[in-house]
Amino acid sequence: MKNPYIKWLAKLFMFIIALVAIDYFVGLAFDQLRDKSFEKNVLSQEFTCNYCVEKATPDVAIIGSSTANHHYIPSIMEDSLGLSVYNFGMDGCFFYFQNVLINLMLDRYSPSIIIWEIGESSLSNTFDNHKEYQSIKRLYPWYSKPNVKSFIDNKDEFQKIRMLSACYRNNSDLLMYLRLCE
Amino acid sequence: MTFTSFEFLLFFPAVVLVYNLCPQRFRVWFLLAASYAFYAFMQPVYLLLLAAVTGITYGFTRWMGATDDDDKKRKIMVWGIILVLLPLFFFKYFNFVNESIFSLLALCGIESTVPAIKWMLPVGISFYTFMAIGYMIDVNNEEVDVEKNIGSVGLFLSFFPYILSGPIERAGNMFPQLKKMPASQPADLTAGLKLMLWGYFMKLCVADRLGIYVDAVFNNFAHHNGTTLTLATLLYPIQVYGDLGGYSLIAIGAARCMGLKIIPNFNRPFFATSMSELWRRWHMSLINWLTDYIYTPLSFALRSWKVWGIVCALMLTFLISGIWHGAALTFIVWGFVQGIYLSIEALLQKRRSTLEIKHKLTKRWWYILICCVVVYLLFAFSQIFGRCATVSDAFVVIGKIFTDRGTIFLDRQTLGYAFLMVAILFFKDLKDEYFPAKLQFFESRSFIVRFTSYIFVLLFILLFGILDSSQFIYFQF
Repeated sequence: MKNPYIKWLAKLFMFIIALVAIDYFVGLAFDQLRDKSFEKNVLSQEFTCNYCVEKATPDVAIIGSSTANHHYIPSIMEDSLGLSVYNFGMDGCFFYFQNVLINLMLDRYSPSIIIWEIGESSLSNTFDNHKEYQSIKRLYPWYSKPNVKSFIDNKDEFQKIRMLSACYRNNSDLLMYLRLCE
Repeated sequence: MTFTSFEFLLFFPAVVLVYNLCPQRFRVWFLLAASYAFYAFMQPVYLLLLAAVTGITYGFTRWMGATDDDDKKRKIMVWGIILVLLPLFFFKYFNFVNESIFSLLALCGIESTVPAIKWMLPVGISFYTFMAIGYMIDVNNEEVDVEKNIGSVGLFLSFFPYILSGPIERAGNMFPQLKKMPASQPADLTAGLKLMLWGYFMKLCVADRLGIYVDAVFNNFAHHNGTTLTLATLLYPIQVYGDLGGYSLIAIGAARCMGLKIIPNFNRPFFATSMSELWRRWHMSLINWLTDYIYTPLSFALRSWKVWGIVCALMLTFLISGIWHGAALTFIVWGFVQGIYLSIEALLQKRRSTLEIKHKLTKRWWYILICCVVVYLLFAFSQIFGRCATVSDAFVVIGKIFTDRGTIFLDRQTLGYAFLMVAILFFKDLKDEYFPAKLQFFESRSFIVRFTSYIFVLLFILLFGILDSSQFIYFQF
């Protein structure tokens, strides 16, 4: 390769291939770390999301934002209803996120009752992009599902491209997973 | 579009590619069009202002070039500078001057107001105004030739890597390069991309990560105790270094990819052992500009006052620096504090030098360490005025730091990442400062080491950087 530009482009191409490969393997490592952290710590919001989508089968599912998370007491409801109740309320998760979560849960099983806590601001016509997408990371593990992909990709016109990177999907997660594994 | 937006990652390679495919005689015009397109993404209407400043600069320098009479040339230069400064005054300083005058009148019992101008500040106006002024002064002093190509003048003032937040370039450095407009060599592309990569690390991993904590504390300073404010104060200079230093590296790297060499802006400032040395390493393009066009002429004019002439020149120069940073009393106080520091240093310089020579202090590591720490603490203290919205807020923060102890507010996750990134930055700067030939990473002779280093830094940016297009601090100037 006598042309220096072709040699340079070839190096750049090798660099990109290596980066894509390492990015993929880093993503696999993070998947393992995430699963391990959920086994060790069932109190995190991330675990709640994962449990709701993958495993939980309560009779009554409470879905909502921090209002649901902090103001609905499953044990009292269980006592009154005689049914199993789980509170899937999560801080910083609003209407569109909750909609995706419910649909992910319904893909797997149908609870007898869904208590969906909707704040009045969710019924307004305006779409607050910043508010609705602030906890979007919790849905990244299910990006392959069509309704999740549709929601995440609508964040902005370049989100689809960013989501190609496993490292981007696990941005700022390392310390959280390590802390949950303690 | 900013350097950290996705649009820039598409815009920049396209510009570099087309630049290299363009015939050499069209490259100035192509880059000018690209720079105007870049600016238009942010504030299209203010392109007219940029074009007007370009037209004034070009016209007045051509007029100066056609004049042999030195006095007439000087008068043309003065009028040119006044015209170029007018937009900066109206957009940036009118409201501040207006409010200050009427506050003073109100103290004398005269109640009157002129409505404030509610226009958005044109991005980069402080930077390109200073470049235009510098060019006109250089033409008057016959340090550079008059540039006859209006495209080159336009590109000099609007070049997209540096228009938004500097470095403040000089005509003497740019015009010779704009005449050649070389094609990008592979070495330029590699060097440029390496600079950009490290710049993105500084901005996204260091500055933006620290900013989460520092902004949370300073924006709610009334609710935090002195211990927390102390930590935020100590972290703020590193945040600014990561932000402006990172931006400058991205700008320098982007220009380098097109074979153009821009002046550096930072040189490991936290290894300075005196305030004057700090200001030779921090925001170098601004300080060099102020030194050449304000400080040197002033200190020459006041040379009969000896050391007090130097003190007056320093105070005035840094007051102007403060005013340049912002139309607020906080920046004036900030500039005043810098001037005080440097003036005290100037007055004690002889005694310090004598002491250092007598005890061979400059070779002792503990003396260098103490000097670096003291300089950092003084600089961090002065930055409180730069960070707070008002002078009274700054004094509240200072008061709390010295009187209000308590449990520190710690965002473990944010600070955990931040300290890791700061450690990496510190290690690199320490190595470059004291062991430049050892432990090469980006500059290693081994292809594997270089490659691995690039991959690591890029992975760090993707894994630990703040990737939601936060603004650069210096955009506000």
